[in-house]
Amino acid sequence: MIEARCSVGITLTAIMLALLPWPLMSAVKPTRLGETGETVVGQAATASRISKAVNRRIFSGTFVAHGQTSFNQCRWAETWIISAVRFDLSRRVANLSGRLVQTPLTAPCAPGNQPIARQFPISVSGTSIRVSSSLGVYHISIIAATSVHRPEAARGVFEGQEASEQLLTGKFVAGLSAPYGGAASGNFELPSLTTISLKRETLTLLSAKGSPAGGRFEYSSLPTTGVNVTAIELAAGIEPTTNPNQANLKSPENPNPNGAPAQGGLALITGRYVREVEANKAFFVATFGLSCYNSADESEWGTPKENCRSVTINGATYTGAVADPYGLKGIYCAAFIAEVSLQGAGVTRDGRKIQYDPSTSLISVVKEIQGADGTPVVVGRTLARDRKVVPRSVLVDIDGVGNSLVANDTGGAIKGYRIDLYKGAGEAVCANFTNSISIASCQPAGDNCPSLTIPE
Amino acid sequence: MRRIPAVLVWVLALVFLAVPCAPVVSKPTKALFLKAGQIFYKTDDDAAEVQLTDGDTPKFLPVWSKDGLEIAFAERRGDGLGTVVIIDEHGRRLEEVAIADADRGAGMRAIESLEWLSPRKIAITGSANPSLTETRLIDLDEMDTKTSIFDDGPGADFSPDGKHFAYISGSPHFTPERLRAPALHIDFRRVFPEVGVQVRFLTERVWSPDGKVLAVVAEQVATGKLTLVTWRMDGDLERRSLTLSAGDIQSLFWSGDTLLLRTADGVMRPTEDGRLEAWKLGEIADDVRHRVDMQLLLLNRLEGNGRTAIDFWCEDCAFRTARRKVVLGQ
Repeated sequence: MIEARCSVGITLTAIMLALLPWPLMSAVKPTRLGETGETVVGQAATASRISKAVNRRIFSGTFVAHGQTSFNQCRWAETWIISAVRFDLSRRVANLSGRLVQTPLTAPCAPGNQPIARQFPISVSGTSIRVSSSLGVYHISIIAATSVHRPEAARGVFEGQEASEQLLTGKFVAGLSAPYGGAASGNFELPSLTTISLKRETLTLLSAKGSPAGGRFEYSSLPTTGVNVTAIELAAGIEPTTNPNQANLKSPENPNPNGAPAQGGLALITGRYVREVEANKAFFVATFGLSCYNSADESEWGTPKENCRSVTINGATYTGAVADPYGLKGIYCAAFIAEVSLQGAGVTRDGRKIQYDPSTSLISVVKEIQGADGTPVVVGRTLARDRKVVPRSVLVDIDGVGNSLVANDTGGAIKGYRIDLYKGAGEAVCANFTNSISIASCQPAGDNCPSLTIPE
Repeated sequence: MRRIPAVLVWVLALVFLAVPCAPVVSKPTKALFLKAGQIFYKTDDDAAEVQLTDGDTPKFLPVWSKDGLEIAFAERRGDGLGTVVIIDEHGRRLEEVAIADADRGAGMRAIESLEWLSPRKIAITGSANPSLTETRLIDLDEMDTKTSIFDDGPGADFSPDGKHFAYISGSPHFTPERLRAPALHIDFRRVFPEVGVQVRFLTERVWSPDGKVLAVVAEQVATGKLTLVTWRMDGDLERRSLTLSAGDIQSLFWSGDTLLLRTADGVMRPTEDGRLEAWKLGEIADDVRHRVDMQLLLLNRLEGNGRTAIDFWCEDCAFRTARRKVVLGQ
C-alpha cells in the first residue's frame, strides 16, 4: 500500500513536471563534475622558449600541464577532472594561440591511448589566458603558446580546483616550478644574472653553486613515476645560505614490512637558488626496488639414492633418485632435476653448470648459465630488469650494491622500477640480502633511467 | 473529458509523496588502506576513517572479500613467509593461516599479492626468480596451503569463480628465449600447444566473465602464424588462425560475452571463420562515468598522507582494483 501511494505521488509529480515550461526544467538539470569549478592545473608543466628578437625581446613559449599516476603495477593516465585552466600573466598578453589535448581512457593499461587533439577554445583577457572545457576523467595536456613583449612578463599565478576539490595554487616565473608540481619548469630564459649549477658528486651527494652571492638554496623532490622515490635534504652541517651548497639524496624505506620487493620510481629533483629572482635546475633520479635470486644447487637437495628431498611442482611430486635424467649422465635426486627443469639451470655437487633445454627436453653441461637475454649470468653482477626501464647494453650503478652492474637478464616478474640481482647457486647466497629500495643510475642514460650526469 | 485543475493534481501529489517511499538500500563504496602499518577503511561519504587493526605487528596487502564483508591481509609473525589473517569489517579476527617458507628451492620469496578466489579460498602469490611466480591456494575450510602453482609469468590466472586456473610452463628463467617452449596449462593439464611445437604467447590469458572460456593469442615460432586459442569448460580446444602479425596485437579482452582484440588498427572481433570485424566499443554511460568519477575522487582523497595499498569494494563497481590489475567497467 505504501509503495502504491508512493508510486501515485511520483507519477503525479512527473506529470506536473512535464507540464512545466522548459526553462524551469533546465534549472533542475543535474550538474556534472567538470562543468563547474574554476581553474585547474595539472601536476607538472614545462615551458620552452621559442624565439627572442634582439630589440623587442619577443618571447613565446609552450606551457604543458599534465599529470599521471599509477595504480598497482599498472601505469594509468591521470584522473584530473579539469574544468578550466587559467594562466595569469603579470603583463598583458600580446598574442596567443593554443590547444588543449585530451587523451581519453579508452581502456585501462592498454597501449595505444593516443592523444586526440580535441580543440578547446582559449580566450585571452588582459593578463589571463583561459582554457575552458568540460571534461570527464581524462589525461589532460594543456598546451598554450603565448607571446608576450617582455620575458619577465611570463610570470604569474595559477589556481584551480582538482577532482578532490583541493584548491591548487601556485605561481610560475618564467620557467620555474610551483608548489604543486610546477606550472612551468622549462627553459624560459630569464634576463637575470641569478644562476645555479648542480653536480652529482656521487649517487647520493649533490653539490650546488649559486651566483651572485647572498641567495638561499632550496631543494625539492617530485614523484613523476611511482611513490617510492628519492627524497632530498641538506647535507649535515650545511645551511640553506651556505654557498657552495650540498644536499643528500635519500632512498626511501621499503614500505613492505615483510621485506617483499617494492617498486621504486622516478623523481624530479629541483635545486633552487633564491635571490631577487630565483634560478633553478632540475634533473631526474631513479630508485629501484631490489631483490636477490639464485639458481638451483644440487647439494641442497640431499644425496642420492637414499637421502633425497622431495618437492611438489604443479601437482607432481618428485622424490627419490633418477638415473641419466633428460640425457644428463649420472644419478641425481629427482627433486633437484625437477628444480632444474623448473628454473632452467643449476649447479651440480661437483661444480658443473647444467642447463635445461625445454625445446628438446635435454639437460646438458654448459660453460656458463645463461639468462633470459641469452647471455651468461654473472654472480653478483647480473641484473634482471624491465627492458622498458633499463634497455640492453646498459651498466647500472646501485647505491649500496655496486657499480657498473650488467643489465643482461629479464623476466615477467620484474616490471617497472624493480631489479633482481643474481647471486649464484643455492638459497644461502640470498639469505642475508635486504630487499631495499636504492638509488641507481644508468650508463648511458635512458629515458627512464637517468645517468649521474645532470644535463645542461 | 473533464479537466482536473492543476492545483488539485499538485495537492494530490504532495499528499502521496508525504508517505515515505520504501528505502532504496545502496551499499557505499568502501576503501581499505594501510597507514603506519595498520589497516583502516573509509566509505565514499564524509565518514571518518575507521581503524580496523592495531598492535605492533605491521600489516600488509589488505583486500576485501568479494562480498565486501571480510578482509584478508598478511602480517609478518614468527617464521615463514607470514600469516594470512581474516577479519570482519569491524576488525574482529576470524581466522589465521600461517604461511610456511617453500619446502626447498624455487618457492616464492615473499608474499607479493593476495587475492580472494571465493568465500573460502584465497590465493597468495610471490615471485621465485625473475620469470617464475608461485601461487599458493589457501583453503580456509581445511586450513590447507598444499596446492601450489608455478607460472612462468606473473602468476596463475583464476576463473572468476575461482574454480579453475591457467598458467604457463616450459619457459624456465635460466633458458635463453630461443630455446623456450611455453605451454598453456589449465588445472595442471597441458592444453596447448602439442609437445614439440614451439609458440610464443602474445597476450594475457583472459577468462570470460562467466568463467567458461579461456582465451589467449599465440604465435607459432616456426611460421610466424598467429592463432587465437580458446579453451572451454568441457575441454574443447578451438584454434582460429588470425590474419595479423605479432606486432599488430596489443591486447585480448572480453566485453561482456564478446571476445575482442585490440590491434594497431583498432578493436576487432575475431569471427568464427577467422576474419576480423571492426568493433566499436560502446560509450561509457553517464552513470558509469559518474561512479568512476566518485571512486576516483575517493582514491584521490585517500592517496598520500601516509596511506598506501588502497583496495576498493563496491556493490556495483565501475572501477575496481584487483590483483595486478586496474579495471574500468563499461
